[in-house]
Amino acid sequence: MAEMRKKLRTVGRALARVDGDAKVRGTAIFPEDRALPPGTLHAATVRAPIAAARILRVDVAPALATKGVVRVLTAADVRGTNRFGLKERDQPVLASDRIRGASDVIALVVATSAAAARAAARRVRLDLAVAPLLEDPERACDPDAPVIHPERAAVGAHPNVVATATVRRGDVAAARKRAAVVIEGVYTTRWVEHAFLAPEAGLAVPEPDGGLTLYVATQWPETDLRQAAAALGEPLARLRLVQQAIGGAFGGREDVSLQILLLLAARATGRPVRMVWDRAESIRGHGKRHPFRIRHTLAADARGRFTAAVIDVLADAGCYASTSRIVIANAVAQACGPYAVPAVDLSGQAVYTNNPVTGAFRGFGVNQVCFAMEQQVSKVAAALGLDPATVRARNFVRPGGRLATGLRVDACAGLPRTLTRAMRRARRRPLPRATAEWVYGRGIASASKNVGYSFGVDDHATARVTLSADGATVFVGAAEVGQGVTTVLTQIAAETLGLPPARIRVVSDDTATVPEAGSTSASRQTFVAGNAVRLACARVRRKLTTRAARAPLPRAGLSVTATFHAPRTQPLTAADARRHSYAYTWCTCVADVAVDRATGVVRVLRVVEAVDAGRVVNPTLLRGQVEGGVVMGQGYALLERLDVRSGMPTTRGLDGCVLPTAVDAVPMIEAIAIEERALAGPFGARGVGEITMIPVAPAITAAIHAAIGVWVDDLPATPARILAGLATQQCASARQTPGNAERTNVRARRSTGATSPRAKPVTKPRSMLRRSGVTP
Amino acid sequence: MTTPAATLAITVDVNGGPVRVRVAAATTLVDLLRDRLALTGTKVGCGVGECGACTVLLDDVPVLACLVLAVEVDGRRITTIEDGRDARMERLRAAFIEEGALQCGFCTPGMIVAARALAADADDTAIRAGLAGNLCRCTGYAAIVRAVRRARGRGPRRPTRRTRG
Repeated sequence: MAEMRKKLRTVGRALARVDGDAKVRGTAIFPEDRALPPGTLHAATVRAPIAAARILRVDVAPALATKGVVRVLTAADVRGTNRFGLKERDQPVLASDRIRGASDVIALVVATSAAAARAAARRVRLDLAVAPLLEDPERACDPDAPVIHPERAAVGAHPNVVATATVRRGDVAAARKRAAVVIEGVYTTRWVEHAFLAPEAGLAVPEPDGGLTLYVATQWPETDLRQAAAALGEPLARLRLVQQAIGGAFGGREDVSLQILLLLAARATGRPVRMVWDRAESIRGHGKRHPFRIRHTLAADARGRFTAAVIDVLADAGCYASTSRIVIANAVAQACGPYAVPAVDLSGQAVYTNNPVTGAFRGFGVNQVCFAMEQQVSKVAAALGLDPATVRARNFVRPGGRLATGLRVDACAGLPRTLTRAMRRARRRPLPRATAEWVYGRGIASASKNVGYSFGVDDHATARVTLSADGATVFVGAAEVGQGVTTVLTQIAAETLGLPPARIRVVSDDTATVPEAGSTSASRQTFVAGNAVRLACARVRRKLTTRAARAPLPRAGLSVTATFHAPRTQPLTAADARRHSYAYTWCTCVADVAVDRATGVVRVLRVVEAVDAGRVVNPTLLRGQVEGGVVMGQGYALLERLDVRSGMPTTRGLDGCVLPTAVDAVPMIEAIAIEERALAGPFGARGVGEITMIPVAPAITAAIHAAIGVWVDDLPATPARILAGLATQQCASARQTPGNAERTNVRARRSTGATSPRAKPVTKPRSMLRRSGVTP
Repeated sequence: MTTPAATLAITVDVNGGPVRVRVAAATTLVDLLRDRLALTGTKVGCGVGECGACTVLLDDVPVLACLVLAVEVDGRRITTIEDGRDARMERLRAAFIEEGALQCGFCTPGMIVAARALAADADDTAIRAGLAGNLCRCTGYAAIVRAVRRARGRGPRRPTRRTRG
């Protein structure tokens, strides 16, 4: 495109974020900051006290008798379907007959003060019959497993199966036979809490015209309203959502939380209703990252080229479907990462349990499978005595080549450069020498992430550009979640219109006036909304030039709307998986860690991350995505937890989530942008929200192995797990020759090839780990 | 519930202006600021002293406003993010924007106020230790540390360089 060749003025500049000033002065309005209209009521929920039960009776009389209480709403007060959900509408707004999990709300108390509402909520009497509890996803499909959604019994398969995904390609059995090494492993990951800093809050206001206006912070305004309209039996046209400043999202605000409850209460009382959740309720009220169990077999030839992979994923979807169907498809589609694997048998299944709902979370199923794959790749390198970076580079998909699913990728010239650049930068600073206390290690991992919805979903956005005397206003419904999309779209509009960014105003916050841009998720808004803005602005420019040739027209008032449709995709099916995604981002992460052998404590000293997300629209924002993603990945690798007992989260606060603080966080993070400008992204940009987090955990666990010779296959790699690994290693070395000590879960296969390095004791892989400190 | 008898009259200096209010004994400082004085820049992320979003200065010492009772601040000085008088806070604001030290912006008020209380010569370790009580889920803290350094005039003066492939 011509615009790519010419010098850009605004795109590529570190423009200060447009919402920065309000946020550093405390004047940005988050939902709980909104001034309350006179007569505003306050709502409080009555939540499930246990995770599995039949509801026999709900007695609201004691609550209603409480001073200040205006209404107590139950399922009988919901006039629509009383069901919501992003992909399957299987979640009740207010539960009537059964409790399936901790997030279920049974009643909603509306009162004149928040304190009165909360006090009354405690007085709602629930008469429950305890039902059998399904906690273990491995047992979800047993014939005698409790059925979480009996209405699904007719759907086929086991009623507890939310979704499955499969990809089979090539001759796996033959490829395995030819392999020099076959590594088998089982990997587990746990729930993770988004822990966005602002708990859910909102205000619903009845309007004089009969409509309802909802002031909340969400990732997908229109879909919130569509779900609300159906659940409550409200005409969609009467619902309006005004987006407030959002206190973090990371996928955790893609599902509906309190939106429908607020609208229900405002309609039932005819008055404005506000609700602010505390942290414990926030943890119960939105979905988590899926715990995965991944069985993994990876075969490679003597040079470390992958010949086959057999991967089976089991995901705990919790008690409602949320986005599990897409998460499991994504996990299967990306299970082999950025590598070309000629023969694969990939399968995944998400199952219902009585555990917390799991849904979207930065990376959307890829983090878990990337951890497993990258551990396997590192183990292949170790088993063959090859440099882990070399093994990765040998297997990267090449332009025009096919990923494991069969998807053809053209725009991947930047992928090998993420690795070479990250390694080169990492080597500039050698690891410290081991001390009596600390041993050091360096690890590497690479990752891929699809941009956009994928799997056949129509991925589009609409933008409207209106000129005024002093500039242009861009209306586009791309939710700002802190990542800086408003600034990115301002830059794209300014560049295309040839105006300074100060004369562009991007408006995204009101469903009444702003066209839809879909969800802020899947790293898609720069690509999809960015293209819509660029398209609309380019049309404005064309109109201006042609008209200017005839007569000078007042520019003000000219308004142009344009819709961008991303390239079409197809669902992931075993038969034809060739076009499940339209764009990819690539990343390589190198982590340096220090491990205390006595306590099992791991400190991450430094991370170098090279990302190819296409052209960088704003380097400050890109760096922010890298640094934030790295520390979130560090938390995922080493620290974070969400404890669940009998289906109920027992973690009630942020302390219990063990988030990295400024003291824990990696003190040295180096971001490198590889700007491979292929594809149809605006000015060659693709999207960077998720990829930055994905390879961090396996880079850290590879570094731990480099330091102490222990593979940690279960996340998080807690001190207890590291000490257990060291203990196993000691027992093993007492029994075996030292060289075999660390090979407990590595199975070397007899090779049919002439040069088999199979039984070679594990030596230090060559270049990368040269300075990695001590040998175990 | 609150009865007139349970309220107390307090006088507080908030951002340089005297404020005289009656508060219930159980009212926290953050509720006084947000609900009574409409100073909503101070945020509540947890309400139990775990996140630091409600950090304000009490006589120049950072405190968690969710853990302080309003009656405790009678006759004392409170500084919140809305304070426009302080040159150092203004430098921090500018540095936070320039370094990209905020994303969603919810932790930002507490972070800036906590940074205002750091010693002027704090090095990176001291900055990190001083901000350890303020959680941020977006930035990974790196840009925040840079911004605090920059506001001291000791950080990189040049604009963030564009990294090229």
